[in-house]
Amino acid sequence: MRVLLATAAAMLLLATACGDDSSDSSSTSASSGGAAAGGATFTFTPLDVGGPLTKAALEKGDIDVALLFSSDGAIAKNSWVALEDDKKLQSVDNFVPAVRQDKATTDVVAVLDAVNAKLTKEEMQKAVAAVSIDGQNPEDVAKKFLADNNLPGSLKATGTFVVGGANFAESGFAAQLYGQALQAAGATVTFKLDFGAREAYEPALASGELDLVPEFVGTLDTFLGGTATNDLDKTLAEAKTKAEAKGYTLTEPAPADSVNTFVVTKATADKYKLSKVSDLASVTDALKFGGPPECPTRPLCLVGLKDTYGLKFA
Amino acid sequence: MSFLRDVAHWFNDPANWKGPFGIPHRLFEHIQYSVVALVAAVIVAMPLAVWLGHRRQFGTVAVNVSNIGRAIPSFAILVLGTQQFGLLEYPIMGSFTTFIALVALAVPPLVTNSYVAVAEVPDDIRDAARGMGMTEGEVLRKVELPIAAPLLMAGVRTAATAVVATATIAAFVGAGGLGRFIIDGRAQFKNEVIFAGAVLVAALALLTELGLGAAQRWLTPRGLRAEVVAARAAAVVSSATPDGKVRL
Repeated sequence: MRVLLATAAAMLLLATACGDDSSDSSSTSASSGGAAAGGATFTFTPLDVGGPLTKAALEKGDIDVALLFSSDGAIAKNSWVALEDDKKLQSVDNFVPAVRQDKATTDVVAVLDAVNAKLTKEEMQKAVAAVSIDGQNPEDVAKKFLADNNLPGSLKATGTFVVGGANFAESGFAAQLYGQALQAAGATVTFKLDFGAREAYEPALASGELDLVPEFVGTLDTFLGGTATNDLDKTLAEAKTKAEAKGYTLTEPAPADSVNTFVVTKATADKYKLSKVSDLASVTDALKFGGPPECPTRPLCLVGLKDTYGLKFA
Repeated sequence: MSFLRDVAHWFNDPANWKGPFGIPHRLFEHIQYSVVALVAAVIVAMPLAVWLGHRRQFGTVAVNVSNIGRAIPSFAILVLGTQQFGLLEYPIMGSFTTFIALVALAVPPLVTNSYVAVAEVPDDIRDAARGMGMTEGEVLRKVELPIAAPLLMAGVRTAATAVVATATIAAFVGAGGLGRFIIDGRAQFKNEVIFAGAVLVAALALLTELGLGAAQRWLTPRGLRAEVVAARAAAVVSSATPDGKVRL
C-alpha cells in the first residue's frame, strides 16, 4: 500500500526530527549551554520592544528577565522589580518640561520643580498603569496625583500656556500634570495633546505655537544633535544649551525616567536576591532573558550586559 | 546592485552557516515545526474526511466546519494565544500557539481534498468491488484509496506548502525557524538579512511543492497515470478493427 508506505515515511522523518532535536536540545535561539565558573550562561529569546509579548512572557514565567521601559505601568501593576542599572549602562532619559524661555519665569519654574520633585519612577509607573492598563483618563490621573501630593500648594504663577504632548501615555500624563499644576497656581492653560511625534511638536515649540511640552533629557539631546550619556548633569546642560538656541529651555528633571530596564518578577528577585543588574553576575541558574529582537546586537542591551556587567550569553 | 551583493555576502559568510543562529539550524527548526503541524493535521483531518467520503455523508458540513480554519488569520491565533497563555514553548513542537495556527491552516485543504477524492470515486467501480464480495473496509482500502490517491496527495501538497510558508510567523513569538532572519533583520535594520530569509522560505516552500508533487505522481496507481492512460488510448485506437469496433 503506497499510502501506508508514505505515512510510514512521514513518521520516520518525524522520528528523525525528534531524535535530532533531543541531541541538540534547543528548539529556539536559546541553547542550554553549560554553566561556566563564576556565573551561569544565560539565554535570550527575541520578543518585542517592551510590548505585550515580552510582558506576557515574563508574567507566565517563559522568561526570567525582561527588557522593558522604566516608565512601563505593568511594572507597578504586577509588583515586578526593575533592576537598578548600577554600572550605568543606559544613557539618562529623565522626564523634563521643555518651556518657552520667555514664559519660564521664576514662579513658573518653581511650580514645575515642585511637581517634578514628587514624580518618582514608581509614581510614573503607577500613573502609566492607570492610563494604559486601566484605561483611565490622563486628566483624572494627573488631577489625583496633584491632589495626593498637595501640589502646587501655596505656589502662584501667571502667564498663558499652550501645553502640548506626544502620542503616548507617559507624555499625555506628564503634559496634564504640568498644565494642571500651572492652572491651579493661577496661569491660563490650554491643551493641545496628541501632538504626534517629536518631529511634529518640537518645531511647534521652537516656533512658539506651543509653550510647554514634556520631554526626555537624553532623547531630546540626541534629537538636537547632542550625545546623551549616563551623566544626567552633563546631558541636561548640553540639551539645555541646544534648546535655548531655539527659544525654549529645560527645567530641573524629575527622578522618573523612561529608559531600558531589566525587570524580574518579585519571586525571581527574592529567589536570587536581585535588586541591581550586577547581582545577576552571581546567579548560577541559566536565566532566560527576553526583549526586542535587536537586543543581541545593541550596546545598551546584550552587548552591554556582556561588556559592562560581564554576564555570559549563549 | 550593492544590495544584492550584501545578500550574496551574507550567504557566503561562514558564520551564518553554523551554530544555533545559523541557516542549517534555522532551516531544521522550520522543517520541524512544519512537519509536526502537518502530521498532526493529517492525523486529525484525513481519516475522518476519508471515512465521510466513503460514506458520502456530511461532506458539506465537514468542509464548511474545517473552513473556519481558513477564515481565522494565523497571526490572530498567534497574538491572542500568546497574550492569554504566554509563549508555550515545547521541545519538538516549538511554539504551541504557532502549532495551532498551522494546524488550523492545514486542515481545510486536507478535509476538502480527502472527502472529494474518495466521494468522487465512480459508483460503478465501487459497485463492482462490492459485487466481487469485498467488505466495506476492502472497498475503501483496495479500490477507493488507490483511485483517490492523487487527489489525497494534492491536499497534502497544498496544506504542506501553506504550512511551510506560514511557519515563518513562529519567529514573531520568540520561536526559531527561518522567520527569525526576517524578524531579526527588520529589528536590526539589515535589509539583506530580511531578503535572505524570504528567499530561504520561498525556496523551502517551492521544494516542498515540487517534492510532494513527485510523491503524488509516485502514489498514483500505474493504471491512472496520464502517460499510461494515453498509451492505452493509443493502443485502443491502433487495435481497432477495420470495421471500427474496439477489442479490449
